[in-house]
Amino acid sequence: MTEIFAGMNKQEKIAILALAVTCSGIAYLMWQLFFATGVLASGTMPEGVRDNVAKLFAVLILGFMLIRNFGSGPLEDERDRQVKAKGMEAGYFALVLQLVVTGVAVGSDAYASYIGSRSSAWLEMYLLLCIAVSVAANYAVKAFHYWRDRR
Amino acid sequence: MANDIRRLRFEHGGMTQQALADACGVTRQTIIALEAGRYAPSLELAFRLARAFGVGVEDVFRWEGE
Repeated sequence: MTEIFAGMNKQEKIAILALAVTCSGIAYLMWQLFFATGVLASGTMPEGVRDNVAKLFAVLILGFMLIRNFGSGPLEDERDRQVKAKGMEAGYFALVLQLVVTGVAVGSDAYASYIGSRSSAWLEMYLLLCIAVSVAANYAVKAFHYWRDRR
Repeated sequence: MANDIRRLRFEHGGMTQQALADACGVTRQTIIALEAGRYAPSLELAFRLARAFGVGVEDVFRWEGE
């Protein structure tokens, strides 16, 4: 495992870190939005939710800075830029798909009342979830390409 | 686009992927992707690789046509 990690370039390490952090965020937000019995659905933001999301961002930023400043090799090269382009394509596609699905749901009779009854705090977390899913898609595609390069 | 990077590395004193990457200003990951045929380099990188081996670009890369 340490050999595999040592053989990774900086962009691959960043991709894996970001994927782990965003997947944790997605799981947390989905729990809060759809399964937790707190007040998020109909009232104000429960205590600590914003703090927990901010902590995940802080882990991501700290990890990025550590990876960037330590270790040998360039931060990115031409192959990394190609992989980044593929990742961004996937991320934008995921974001557009979520927006279209949400738009259709809001406009449909079946879901309009459900979404209309949600609080502003719920909607805030839902939009954050959409962004997190898009970012996760971006880094998942990057991690896949780096993994496939070694095959 | 095929290449002989791996063979040329062995012929040049068993040059490591990391050493070649450092000589060309790219990551070892990029050299791995090149050798696996998963990445076609830019013209600049192709020339850097050829210079690292002291040969011409056509001695490193081959266009296999359609």
